[in-house]
Amino acid sequence: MLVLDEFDKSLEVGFEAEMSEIMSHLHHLNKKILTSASNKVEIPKFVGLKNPVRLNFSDKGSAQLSLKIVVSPVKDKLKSLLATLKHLGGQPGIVFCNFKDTISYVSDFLTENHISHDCFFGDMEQRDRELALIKFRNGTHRLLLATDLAARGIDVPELRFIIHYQLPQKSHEFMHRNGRTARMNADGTAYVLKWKDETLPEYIPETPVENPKKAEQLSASNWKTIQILGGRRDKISKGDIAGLFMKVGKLKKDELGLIEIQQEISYVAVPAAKAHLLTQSLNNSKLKGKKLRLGVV
Amino acid sequence: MLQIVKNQSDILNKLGIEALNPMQQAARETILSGAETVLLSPTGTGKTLAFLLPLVEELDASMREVQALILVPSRELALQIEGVVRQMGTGFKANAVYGGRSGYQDKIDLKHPASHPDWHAWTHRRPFTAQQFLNGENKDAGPGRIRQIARSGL
Repeated sequence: MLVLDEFDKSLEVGFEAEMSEIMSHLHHLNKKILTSASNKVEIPKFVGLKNPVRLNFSDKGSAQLSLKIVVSPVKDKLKSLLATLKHLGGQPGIVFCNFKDTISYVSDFLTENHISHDCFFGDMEQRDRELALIKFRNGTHRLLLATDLAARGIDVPELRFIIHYQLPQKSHEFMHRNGRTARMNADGTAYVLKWKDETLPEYIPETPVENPKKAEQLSASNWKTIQILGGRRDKISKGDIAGLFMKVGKLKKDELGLIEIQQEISYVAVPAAKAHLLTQSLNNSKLKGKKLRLGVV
Repeated sequence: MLQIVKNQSDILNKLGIEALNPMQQAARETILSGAETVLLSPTGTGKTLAFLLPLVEELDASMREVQALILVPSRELALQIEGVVRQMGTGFKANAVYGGRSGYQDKIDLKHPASHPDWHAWTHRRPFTAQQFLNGENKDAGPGRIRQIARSGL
């Protein structure tokens, strides 16, 4: 069985050679499933679909998503971005940029203004990429600056907004970005950040303008992430880690954040104020016979 | 031998989901009917589960081979789907295989699918943005990890 998830991305121009080679190695395929929210591609012959059944639920657009425009009086949109973020008051969200250079430009500005965030783009070290998402999901960072690498599939149910710092070239990528919020019956807002004289592409529908109201400086996140050297390979489970942090670490149930277990490493979100003491007191403790090394990341 | 769980209500319980939505129901029926399926549904409506549930029902616990391959366009999406498969608690093993980590590790993971079948969420290429691609910044997008593995055989 073969699934091509986000198939219109994988089957875009440029990937034919790879995709057709992969398909040619897959013998005895008895079933193919292609899924996406958009269909901006003609399915190539090498996929070898035979009388596929097409299920189209895509006319039912997301009723929970609202779209808003924020207008920057000057071409440099940083100050308007900052105002929008403060207006949103520290809810979790993603700021989309088109280039990694823009991300580092925006990131530097946010750092100067003490807005905690993480970056996510293709050229980062894989470990840093994964860590950025882990810390975003568990609330250590409530803001992610990302390229379209984060536009498809990434599921963070709590995500309240996305901001287009720059707009993507294609309308379906606009839709995929927006789709990171307002998931599964939840509400969410997509903001288009434009400067006053900028003409928006035709794919942007008629959209109300939002004026960010003056707001306080954002408070820091209440969570920090502890990394534990030990994981699935050591037969360590979420329950093991919860037990360690509650029994030995004396955390109350609501002080224990998200736990993620990987092959060799695990991550736990804990109250920021307790993170360093916890790593000290739990370092060298044992789980499933393995001595644990802990550190705040 | 690990216990295999295919029962839909057991799986939904583990995921904390009460019932399938109409899209997931339709996808399940179509996929189980044996037809090849093209499923279009808006973002955030539960497409991952829509294909994972019927896929699990089709897996054969007596087979040792890799039985399903899920190709996705980014590493983190592969990891996310691997996570959902684990959460389903079916007893079937899932593995995300992607670039940026040791290829040696992939071989270990693939050669020891234990005593039960195996399925995989794989990225088919090194990830990069469309923009980088247009700029020609990622010419070595070529043989991604999966191609390397496909060539060397499983």
